[in-house]
Amino acid sequence: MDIKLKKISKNRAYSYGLFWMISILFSLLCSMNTIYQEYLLFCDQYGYGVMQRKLFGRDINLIFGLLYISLILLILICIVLYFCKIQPGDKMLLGDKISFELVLCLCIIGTIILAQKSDLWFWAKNDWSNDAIWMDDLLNMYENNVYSTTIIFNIISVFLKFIFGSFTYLVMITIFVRRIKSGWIAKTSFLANILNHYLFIQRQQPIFKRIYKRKIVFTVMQIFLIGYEMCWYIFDLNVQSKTLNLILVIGIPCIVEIILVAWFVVKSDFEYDVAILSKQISQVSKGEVNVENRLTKQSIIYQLGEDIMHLDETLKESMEGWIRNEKLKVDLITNISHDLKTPLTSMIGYIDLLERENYVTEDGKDYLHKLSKKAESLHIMIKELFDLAKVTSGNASLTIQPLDLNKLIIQTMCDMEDTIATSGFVIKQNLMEQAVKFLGDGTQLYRVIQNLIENALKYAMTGTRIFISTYLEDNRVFFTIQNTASYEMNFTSEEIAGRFVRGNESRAGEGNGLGLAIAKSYTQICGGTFEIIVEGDMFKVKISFECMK
Amino acid sequence: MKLSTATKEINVEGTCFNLTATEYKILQLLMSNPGRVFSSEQIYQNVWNEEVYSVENTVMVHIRRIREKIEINPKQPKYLKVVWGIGYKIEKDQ
Repeated sequence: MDIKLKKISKNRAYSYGLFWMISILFSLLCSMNTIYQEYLLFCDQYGYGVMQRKLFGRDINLIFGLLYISLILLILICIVLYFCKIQPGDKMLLGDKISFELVLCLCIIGTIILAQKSDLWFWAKNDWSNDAIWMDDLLNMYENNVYSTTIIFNIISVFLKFIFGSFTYLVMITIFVRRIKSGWIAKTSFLANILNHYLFIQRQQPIFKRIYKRKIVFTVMQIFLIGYEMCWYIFDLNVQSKTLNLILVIGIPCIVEIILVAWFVVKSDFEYDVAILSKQISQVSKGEVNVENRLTKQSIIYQLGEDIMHLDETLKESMEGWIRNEKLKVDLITNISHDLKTPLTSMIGYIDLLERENYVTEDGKDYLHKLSKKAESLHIMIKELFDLAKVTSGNASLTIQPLDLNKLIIQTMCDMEDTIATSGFVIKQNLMEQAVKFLGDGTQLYRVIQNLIENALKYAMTGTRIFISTYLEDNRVFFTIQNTASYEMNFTSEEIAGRFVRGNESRAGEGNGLGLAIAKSYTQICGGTFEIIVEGDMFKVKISFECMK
Repeated sequence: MKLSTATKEINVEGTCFNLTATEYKILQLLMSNPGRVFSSEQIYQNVWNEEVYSVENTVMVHIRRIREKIEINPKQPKYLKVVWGIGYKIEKDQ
């Protein structure tokens, strides 16, 4: 494979070398005529003989002209057939990136100049009085008698001109042929690019950039027009013909101005489009689905409308995904809790039956009693976990009513009278005098306060008091419960409110670590704030709700 | 559940319980309008006929006593219910 590639590149190098040799020969031949002409002129000037314009009995211009033509044709055939082979996958070289229009122009101009230089031009026009145009300078020099000193320099300069000119020409021809063969015309053409830009690419640019661009173009064109008009008056540029003058000074600027203004104004149905777009946006924001893009494709902000349409779709998709996930989560917890509850219920039932049997020994009865207690606490825990999951997933159904905080606390305290009495703790109440109402779900908040009191009873140090107070501050009702902990509280207030977190690392004793988590979630779902303050041995929970007006 | 005016007794699913005068009055008030929520102030005014001042505790204590008498499981009351933060009610018959 490598050898093959090398061979190809070698062949290519040879062919290009040959090509450039032929082109140098070509330029040499081109300059020969000039040199010959100059020689004839020289002879003429110094009387060395009559000017001979014939060679082999033929017109010298025709002979040289035909020579050029055949050489050009030969080179063109070589270029087209051999030197411009394009294989698929070939990369664009430096020359291939030049604008196609420029290459075309240079090729045409080059061909015309070449035809003139070859003197075929004059032969075709049957006008022998003229020599090659660029000879005029030389003739002037002869007349001024500077010829003798500069003849060598002139011949060299003409020769160089030819080499350089023909070289450029051949390069251009090569590029031109390559361009046609490779099909890169559309890609490199300046006009095609501009058209493409305005028809397709511009539509993808951000809207504000486009509006900004349009304004700049409009302003620049206006300044250009003013400058153009001023040039006429400042430099007093007047053309001979009056009609032409009128057209140039008034006609063309007027037409350009009209086109400009029309372009600027007609395109500003922009405001209308913005109105349509804002309507679409407000529809989306109201939560309507399948909002259509009513903008026309020609509109400058068409793409924005499309984007908003898709925005709506993506929003819908993500919402659906989120709802599906939440449902799965709740389903999972519900199922697990149900699956755990069912066997547990039958266990509790059978333990209960066993306890009533007579043949169970005293020890056995003791064991059964312990089993029953543990099963009961497991049952409660599962239930609480289930409730907590329901609340945190937002699936709990709430009955929001105006509540009285003092009433709620007294009711809860009375309800828990037995528990408080058996615990031996004294609960000091310091309730506010006025009855302030706030919005909340009584059943949930009863559980919050119950949990907090239970928590205080469980972890307070024996012999200390528990303080409960309510007060009003900044249009909010506050409830605080404070107790002195019976152990060192080496946790932060954030940590303790987590699920299954217990102050006592050993996890001994009653409780499942869900109490504070439930209290926090339930308070928050009712719209309240929940704060735990730990200061030394003091443990304090602060709940607040906004008052009803 | 039936309240007997003459004997000041309450009959819950066939079992009779004696009631004190206050308990009887409270039940009478609540049962006169099943499902309606009575606040402690309302109950106190109707039963004690006295000026209302910090009565929540008193009423709640009586409610607890009644519950202990008439409910099979006082922790999960079936008839006499506390509407937390608002008041008390007798559940409507299904």
